Amino acid sequence: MTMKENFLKGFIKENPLFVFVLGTCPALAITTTLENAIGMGVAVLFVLMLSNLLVSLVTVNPKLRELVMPVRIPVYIVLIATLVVIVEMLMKAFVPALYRTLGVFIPLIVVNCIIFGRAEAYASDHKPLESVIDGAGMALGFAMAIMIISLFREILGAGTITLWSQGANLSLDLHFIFEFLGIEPIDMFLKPVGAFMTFGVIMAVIAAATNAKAEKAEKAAKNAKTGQSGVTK
Amino acid sequence: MKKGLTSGLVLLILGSICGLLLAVVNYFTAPVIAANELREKMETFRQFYPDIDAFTPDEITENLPEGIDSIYLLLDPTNNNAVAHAIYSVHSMGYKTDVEMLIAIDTDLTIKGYAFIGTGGTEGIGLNLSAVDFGMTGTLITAWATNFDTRAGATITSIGDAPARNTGVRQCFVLVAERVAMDFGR
Repeated sequence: MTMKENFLKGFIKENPLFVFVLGTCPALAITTTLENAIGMGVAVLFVLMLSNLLVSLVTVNPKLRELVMPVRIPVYIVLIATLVVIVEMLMKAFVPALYRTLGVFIPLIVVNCIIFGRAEAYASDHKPLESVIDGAGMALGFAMAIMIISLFREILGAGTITLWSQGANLSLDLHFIFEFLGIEPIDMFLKPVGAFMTFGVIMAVIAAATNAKAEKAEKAAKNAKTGQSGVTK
Repeated sequence: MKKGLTSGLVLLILGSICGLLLAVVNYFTAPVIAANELREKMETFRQFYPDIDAFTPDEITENLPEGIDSIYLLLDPTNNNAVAHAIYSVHSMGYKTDVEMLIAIDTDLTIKGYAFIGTGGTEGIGLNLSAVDFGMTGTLITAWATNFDTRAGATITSIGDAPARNTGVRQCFVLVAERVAMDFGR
């Protein structure tokens, strides 16, 4: 696998949220605004890249690996928890409003399956650079996924798109669309039921597209086989 | 056995390095976090004292009786840093959960104002404490018993869980009155 493929696999082919259905708890809970999704995405990017790097560093040397492997789970937890606490302290200091909004889901990154899964399934068996690239791709894939969910939820539920609200207010008011349609924003999309619905619809669309693609590929393979057997005859 | 011990040692070393790293990050972020928290508190206090920027805040957190979380003294720099106002952060058991209040007292011991910062357990029964006027603003904190029972009690005692809820709010005023009496000897 090339470095480019390693990086890009997290976006669609092996998207942690839409394909592996990992990290759904924060994905459903904090995606009420695009800003929250960006904040969570950046936090996960920081933790996942560095946790992959550190896990790879402590397992890349065969002698050290031999010592670490029997206690690898506590080692991973110590490393990941340290990184999460660093993120928590930095967010509390420099983006306190976002920190309050994301609330308990920042410390809960420690038990995010994506982080732990990549450490165990990838970083512990690969070189540091490959692990960092994998971490970056997976984290950006996760960030992209929660941004898509939050975009739908915020537009439909609040009629806005909020990129940043700390200090300089970077938000777009789309109420005119609702006024044009003669309806109000659908509050339900900001509630948990809206999160599940949005997530379900996106998953269904992805599943439909994947199935259609697989069917097409199967048909093409069948045609090729038929054509080939025809030539042979 | 020896291998197990070495693995444990590796974990211990890693844990120590991580602890050190956290200490370094905490060293740089702790002052910023403290400044942010103080700024947020000052914004809350501004509802009592709009000219709050003219004072120097001083927080007392030690040797406080049960129920009083902290006392914020607003010192007047133009008057040799004398105490100009005091804001008490108090909590007491209300209806099911704690009632948390800020009570601002002037140097003449009158109640400048009060705010609810936590009223868990009251919203579920359809009453938000912050919407209730207990009529205590402008009264003497030292006369809490008369003032609370006559001014606040009569207006709201007929509402549902009022006795339990009032006990929490009343107790907050009692705690502050006792502390004020201790501090000012009145």
